[in-house]
Amino acid sequence: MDIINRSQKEFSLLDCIPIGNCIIKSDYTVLFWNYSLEQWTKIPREKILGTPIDRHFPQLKKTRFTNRLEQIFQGGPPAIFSSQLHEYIIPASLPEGRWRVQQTTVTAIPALEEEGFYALISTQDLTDPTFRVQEYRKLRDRALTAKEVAEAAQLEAENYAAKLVLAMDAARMGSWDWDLATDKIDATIQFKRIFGFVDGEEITYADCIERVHPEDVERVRASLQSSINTKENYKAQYRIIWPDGSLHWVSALGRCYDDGRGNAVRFVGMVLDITDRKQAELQLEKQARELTQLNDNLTETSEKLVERNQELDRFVYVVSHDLKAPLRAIANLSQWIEDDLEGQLLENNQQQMKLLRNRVARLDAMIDGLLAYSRVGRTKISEETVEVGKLVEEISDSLVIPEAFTLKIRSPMPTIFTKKLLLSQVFSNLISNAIAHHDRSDGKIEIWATEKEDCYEFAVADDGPGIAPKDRDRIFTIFQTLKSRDAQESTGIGLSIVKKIVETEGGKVFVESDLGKGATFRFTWLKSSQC
Amino acid sequence: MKQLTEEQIDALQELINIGVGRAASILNEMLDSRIILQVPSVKVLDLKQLQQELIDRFADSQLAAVQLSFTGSFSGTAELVFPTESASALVALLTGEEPGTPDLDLVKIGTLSEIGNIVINGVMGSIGNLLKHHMNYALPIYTENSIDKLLALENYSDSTVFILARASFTIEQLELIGDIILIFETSSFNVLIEAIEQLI
Repeated sequence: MDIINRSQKEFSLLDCIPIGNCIIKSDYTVLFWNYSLEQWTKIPREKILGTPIDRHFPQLKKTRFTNRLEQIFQGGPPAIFSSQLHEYIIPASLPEGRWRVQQTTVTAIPALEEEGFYALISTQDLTDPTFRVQEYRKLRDRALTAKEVAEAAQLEAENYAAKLVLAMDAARMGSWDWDLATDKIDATIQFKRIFGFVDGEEITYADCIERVHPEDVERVRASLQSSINTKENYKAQYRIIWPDGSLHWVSALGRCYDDGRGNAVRFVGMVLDITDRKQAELQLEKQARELTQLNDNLTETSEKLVERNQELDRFVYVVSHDLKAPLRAIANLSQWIEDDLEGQLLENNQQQMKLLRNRVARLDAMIDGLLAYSRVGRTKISEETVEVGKLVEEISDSLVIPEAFTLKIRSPMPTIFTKKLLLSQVFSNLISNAIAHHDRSDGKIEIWATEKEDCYEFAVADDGPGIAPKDRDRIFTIFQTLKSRDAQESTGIGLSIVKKIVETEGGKVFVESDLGKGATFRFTWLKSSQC
Repeated sequence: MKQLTEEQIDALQELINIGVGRAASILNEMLDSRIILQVPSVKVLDLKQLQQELIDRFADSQLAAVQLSFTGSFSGTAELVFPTESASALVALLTGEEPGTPDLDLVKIGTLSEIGNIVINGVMGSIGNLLKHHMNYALPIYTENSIDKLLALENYSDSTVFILARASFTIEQLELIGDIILIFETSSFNVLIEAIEQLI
């Protein structure tokens, strides 16, 4: 029996095992090719038996294989060929076409009918486990990457959190994290400081809420609860009382988080101590209230004042009006008496009658003056375009000016849209005043205007006797005269009318003068907004 | 235990080196990387000494080992032992894979088995040539364990002789140390020494 047939008999057991087995002689002739190998390689034994194995699998002629087989043919120890380093010793495919992953062990078995050894090649299929291992590795690597990413994200989050804490610390903001289940609050040092807790203290919601001012506590509780229910942002300002009794104002913001199933589990937020700000606010409010009160008082007073003034004016008007009639009667009667007694009166009686008439005339003039005074500001005067220069000329023409007197109008004189009558009265009074109080017959009066931002300043200057400093304010007072009434014809009302008119029209009047140095009367007259 | 002379030890070392050298050439031929295998030192120890030596070196670390037992008139066990981390690194280098996790899985085990197999076969080939003796070999076994479990020290007696050879694997700036342990009963050991004497 030839060696091949014998081999089939001797090694038939190998057909029963789920490992690919083949036996080759030292010349690489295939002596046995088992069932498993037939299935895996699709090579039937009839085709391969008796032929050199490298005819079907050329890679087996490579030195990496033959070098190690040499030892086997000499009876040496078994050789292992791993799937990693030698992919296909005897390549075999799976039903679906993939190559099988194999581990091959070659052992020396004694030769039949001769000295020496055959090589028994055993091929184990590691496909399934190999792929499973690879899949596992992929999953593991993916998990590792995910872990790394998560760790990096965590680190970044921690960094960010650290920065946030620093920023909040700098802004003196505290942050809190309230575990709704345990009621414990995890809070930063800043938070604890704001609430008056000691740095290392463990705090709960109860600890914090008991510090809230009794008047605010319900509101705060309700606000927190509402936020928990609606998941809307929480915002509140309230007072807290520290253990030492001091009052502090706090502004809080927060948000409630749930567990993904709608149950609130966590409330996170920030607090800021706003005591300083609140105190400032309260102070401001107080001041605003006081200011409003003052303002109300002022309005009331000013209204009263206006009323009084109006009353006064009315009174003056009525009185003077009523006084005039009897005065007229006195004047007439005294005249008639004088006429009837013509030639019969003694010298001093005549003098007395004259004085009587003078006094009556004066009284009349005073009443007229009062009337005029009372009328200022009560009648509506219409505005018109006024060439001031021209106006002054007209006035000087109408007044009785002594021959030797000079009246100089310095140009330019403005043209303004104003109440002509009032301006005219002012100039008229000032000019006649200057003439009346001059001590020489060759006096000089100069009139000029200075344009200011929102008004004109007019000046009426004379080179008369001047006014002593002590009298400068007095002269504007009603019925004040510098000399006795008998010594002059003035009623002492002209300048007071000037002052009233000027001030009613929003201006100011004042005099620059000194004894022996003449007088300059200045008054400001607002530019009309309609110019 | 019979003490070896210096010359005997040198000869033993030379014997092992030749075997390792053969393994190196096979590996180099097979792999892309250039690998340098050296056995700088050989020690002959008894059980207690071996335990001490290995425990000192490996302590609690996990070890990977490829074992080959042989029987007949000359019997014993040859082992190549690596710390699992080194083993993993070695496999990664040789297969070109990323040095990932140190877990030795099925695929890696196969590779390590082969490498161990090549080295041990080199050494056994060397010994076999010297003894001109046929030995019956069992299939190589791969195992992982701590040093004390690995050596299954209860199997050995005071008369067991251990030859410990440190093997350094240098591949691309990476140097790994594995230990080749040859275990003989006294009778077999004596046979070996006698054969070595012939050489000297």
